[in-house]
Amino acid sequence: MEHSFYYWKTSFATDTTVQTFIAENQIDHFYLRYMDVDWSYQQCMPMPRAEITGIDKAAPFLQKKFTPVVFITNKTFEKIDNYWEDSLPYKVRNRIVFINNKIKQTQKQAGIIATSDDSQEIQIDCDWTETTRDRYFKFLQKLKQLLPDKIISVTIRLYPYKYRSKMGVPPVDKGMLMCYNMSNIRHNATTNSVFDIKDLEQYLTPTAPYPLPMDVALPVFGWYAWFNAGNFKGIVYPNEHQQLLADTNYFVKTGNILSIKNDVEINHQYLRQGNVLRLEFPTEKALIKAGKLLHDKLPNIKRIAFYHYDNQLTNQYKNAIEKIYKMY
Amino acid sequence: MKKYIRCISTLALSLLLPWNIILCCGPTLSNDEERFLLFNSAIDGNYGIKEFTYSNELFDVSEAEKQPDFKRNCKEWKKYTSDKASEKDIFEIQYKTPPTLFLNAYKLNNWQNFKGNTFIQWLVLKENHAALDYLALAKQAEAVDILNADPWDTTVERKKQDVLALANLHNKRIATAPVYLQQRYAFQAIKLWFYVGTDDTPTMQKLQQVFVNYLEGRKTIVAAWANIYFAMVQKDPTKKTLYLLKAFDESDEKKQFAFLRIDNKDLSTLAAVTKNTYANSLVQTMFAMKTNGRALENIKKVAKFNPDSKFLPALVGREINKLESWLSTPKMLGFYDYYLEERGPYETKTQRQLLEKKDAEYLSQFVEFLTNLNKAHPRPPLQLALVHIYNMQQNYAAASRLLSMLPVYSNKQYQTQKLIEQVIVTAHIEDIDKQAVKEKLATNMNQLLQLNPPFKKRLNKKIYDRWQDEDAERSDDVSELLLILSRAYKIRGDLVTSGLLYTKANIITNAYDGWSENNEVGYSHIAWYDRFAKPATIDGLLVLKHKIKKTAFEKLLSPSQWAKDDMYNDLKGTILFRDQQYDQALEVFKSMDRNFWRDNYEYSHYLPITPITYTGLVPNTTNKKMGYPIASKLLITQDVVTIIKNITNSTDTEIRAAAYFNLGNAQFNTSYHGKAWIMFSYGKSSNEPISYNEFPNFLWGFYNFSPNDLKYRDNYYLCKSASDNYAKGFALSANKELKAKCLLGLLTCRRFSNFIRKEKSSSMKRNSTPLYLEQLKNYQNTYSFKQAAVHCPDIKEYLGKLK
Repeated sequence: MEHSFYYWKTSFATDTTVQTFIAENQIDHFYLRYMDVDWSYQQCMPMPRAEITGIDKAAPFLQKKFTPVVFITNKTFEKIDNYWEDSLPYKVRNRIVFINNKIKQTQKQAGIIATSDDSQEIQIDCDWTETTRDRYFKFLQKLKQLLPDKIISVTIRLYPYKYRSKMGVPPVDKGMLMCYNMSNIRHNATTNSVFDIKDLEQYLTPTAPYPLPMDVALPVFGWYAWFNAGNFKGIVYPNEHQQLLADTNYFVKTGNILSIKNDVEINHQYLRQGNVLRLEFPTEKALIKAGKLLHDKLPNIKRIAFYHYDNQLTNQYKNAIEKIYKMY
Repeated sequence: MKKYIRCISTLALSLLLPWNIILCCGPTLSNDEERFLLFNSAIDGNYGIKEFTYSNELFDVSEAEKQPDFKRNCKEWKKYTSDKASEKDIFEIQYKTPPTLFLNAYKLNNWQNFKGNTFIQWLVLKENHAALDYLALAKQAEAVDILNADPWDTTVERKKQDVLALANLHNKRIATAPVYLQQRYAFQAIKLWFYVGTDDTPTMQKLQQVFVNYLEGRKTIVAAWANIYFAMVQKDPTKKTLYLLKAFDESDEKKQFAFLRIDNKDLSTLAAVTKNTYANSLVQTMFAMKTNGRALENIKKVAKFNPDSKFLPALVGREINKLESWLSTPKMLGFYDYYLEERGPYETKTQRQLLEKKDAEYLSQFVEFLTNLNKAHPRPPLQLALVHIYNMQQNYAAASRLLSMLPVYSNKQYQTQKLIEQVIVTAHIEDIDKQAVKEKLATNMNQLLQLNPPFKKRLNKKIYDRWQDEDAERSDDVSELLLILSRAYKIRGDLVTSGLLYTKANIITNAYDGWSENNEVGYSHIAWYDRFAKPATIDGLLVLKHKIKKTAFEKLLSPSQWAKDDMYNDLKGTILFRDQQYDQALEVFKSMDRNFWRDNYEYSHYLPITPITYTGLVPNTTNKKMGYPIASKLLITQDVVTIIKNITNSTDTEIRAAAYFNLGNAQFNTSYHGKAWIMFSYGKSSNEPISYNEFPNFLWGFYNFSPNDLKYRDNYYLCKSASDNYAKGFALSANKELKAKCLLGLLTCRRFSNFIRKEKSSSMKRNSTPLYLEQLKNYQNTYSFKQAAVHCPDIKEYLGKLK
């Protein structure tokens, strides 16, 4: 069983704790987000965006096996025409090779002996819908033709996992079940849109195995859902604002709800008195329960991954990560 | 096909709305559309500040405003040519001519393609060859487009070497060029070096040196632009921030780039170390622009450091727009205005009131600041801002006094704002029922429309397309004024005027208005009246519609497209039907085209052809085939009137009892749960009647019966009147079968109304079981009960639960 982590930031930065973290948790593998692909309304074409930078600082994440991941927005498949249907797989392939080459150079400079010439697997991440399914699947088929020696994997959300006949099964070698972002963040009635064990249980009801070899990913991240008068206004990322969020001059905590006591601005978002923030971090207990549940429901997985690596978050979820890795 | 009834279930919502952009949750509003802003924060000019007005879109990247800088560059060139070249021709060469076209002509010395262009005529003169050579090189630089290269191209790195060579060539030419061209060569070299990349330390050192030697502090647009490149290679974040601020100040095109790269932490550091009032003023300007919260303290500092700051009007305008969002928007548009105590951890009404109080206090502080500023440094935009916030404070007398001191402005933006304020003042302090005041309002509004064609377009449903309107917030100013006037007339009880003003406004408020059909049939024509009109209102409306010589004010009220008379009559009859004025409703329906419902209703089958007395749930001797030959409110109402005559006129108790039973059936059928609900309401949605609990800000998005859902709640949702009539039938009759049927009717009403009570609203308590329902057990052997049990087996089960 491989222990894995997603690295989803747009750049690598010097991180003095990552080596210890990898060793302590016996991490064998990373999923590295290479780039996003999104539809550009200005240029009427799919565009590579937020390509990973700072590769010279990536060495710790390249020591073990890694898989490049390309996130493609569903909008891209809504918009592309026949020309792009044909050429997007080539463009994506070339770009991956280009970034691979940069990485190779870095590995060489850092004296890292690569586990193989290139990564053996390529993962595509897309939240496809029924409408975009055919175009997305065609893209995957073509990508596989272009990279016949690679394992092509895709991320699979819980909804397409459960409703597989409606959503289709991607024509690839394997899937990664993403066990997070489960319910509608906009609804008042939602308890935690990022992760709710009850929701997970409901999605794992199919008894027949998914027709692809599967791995699973669990979340070690969260945010605050911001509501004004019951209307969803946006997401507040707590990253650098933990101290402010704990300030009782501005916030009153009741359960998973932070009520705003006095107007306050966080990262350009102006939270007004009476607004509320719904805390949406998975609890350690729920994650461990999910680990057990997945162990029972998907006994054949080969890799357990966490989304995503951030030294602050991984520290926060240290126990849960350790316990879940030990289960597998 | 002219059809207008919308029957919308949540599920079918996206299928039925005539909407070109549909999300899974229905139509959407832009953030600006759901705000009520009447102060133009870009009032003071065209210096690229528009995109920095207060908006939730502020931090989104949109196209930077380039034109003012382009024009400035052309003016500099015009001056350099001693006015020999026209600004238009310079613009043509600089910004409309592709590099290849220019470079080919230059190479071949063949300028045929530019015949008549005064700039080219000047450039080709022998004495101006230095300028021509510069432009040729500049066009080569323009052709270098690394930043906008094919994003999939993986060979960009190699191309950088060519760019570096070109940059160095520009640099080489600086030494021998005249001063004017020196600055431009320097700018091109700096720009190209920056494109090559900041990793190359020696090149970055050269860049800084050239900037300092030839551009820093120079009064030319190229120096203003160069601030950006100089800033971006600074390692010291404070210095970088200072030059980004300079770029923001001096250039329009670079404002957005600078804004997005300035960090609040660095601004604080700069504020702590700089003694320079110019820098301090810019720091405080940027702090104010970067917050969507309160910025008065920053604005005060800007005024202290530089009372003549060109940014002050925009900052003041932004602040007013915030206050309008917080205070005016909920009141005028109804967005964020539904605060229910029962919504658990979410906001309560009390909290909202506290917030409003605090905002009102902030408004007062703002008035004080602006009053003082205007005393010391009066400027038209600041004076108009003060008038506006007086109006926001409802201090119309002060607003009026200040307005009377202001001149008629030749500046279009100032005059527009002045007229807006004038209308607000008139609406609140003058007797708007008087003809003279109405005409004054019409005059002011017409002036506004003449000054601003987009305002006029907005009012015409035939030509206005909100999805094409990139400036939807600004173009709705007259619409918002119409809304203010509509409120004022509603308070005075003039519902005809109020409704017409609202309908004309063509603005989305948080109420379901249907969609803007462009013909004479459509719910949006009558939506407001459906909510608020009385039958007499419709009479007044029709009188005005057919008035031949309309006054200017009446013309202002008149929609670009009136609905056909029968649409209004249909509403009048429906209101009377809801109010159980069946005779009068019948008279109205009789006056209408008999085929109106068949021809115009989208869902005319909800006007059943089976009898209105047949529910399908309670056995009835009525022959269900003996119904109506056509979808018709008239025929249904006729039957109801006949039933009521039987109740009123008959002396036979059993006939009266049967009539009560049938009236109960008709009223059940015309309730929310019945087959003919369309007799009562213009739409039906599974979200009723709880839409404002679940979607407080989305009442405009799908059909809901608000506010009639409260007014008619008992009869429409809870079947009270139908139940009462069943009970009366039961009490009067001695016939076991009829008694059983009446009890079954009561049971049906109870089941459906309890569904509403239980499923839809926690505030409505479930009915306790009335005693007479217990009696149904005594009628289990009747034919009617057995029939009912056959058609509806759960009746028996339900009865079992009562035990």
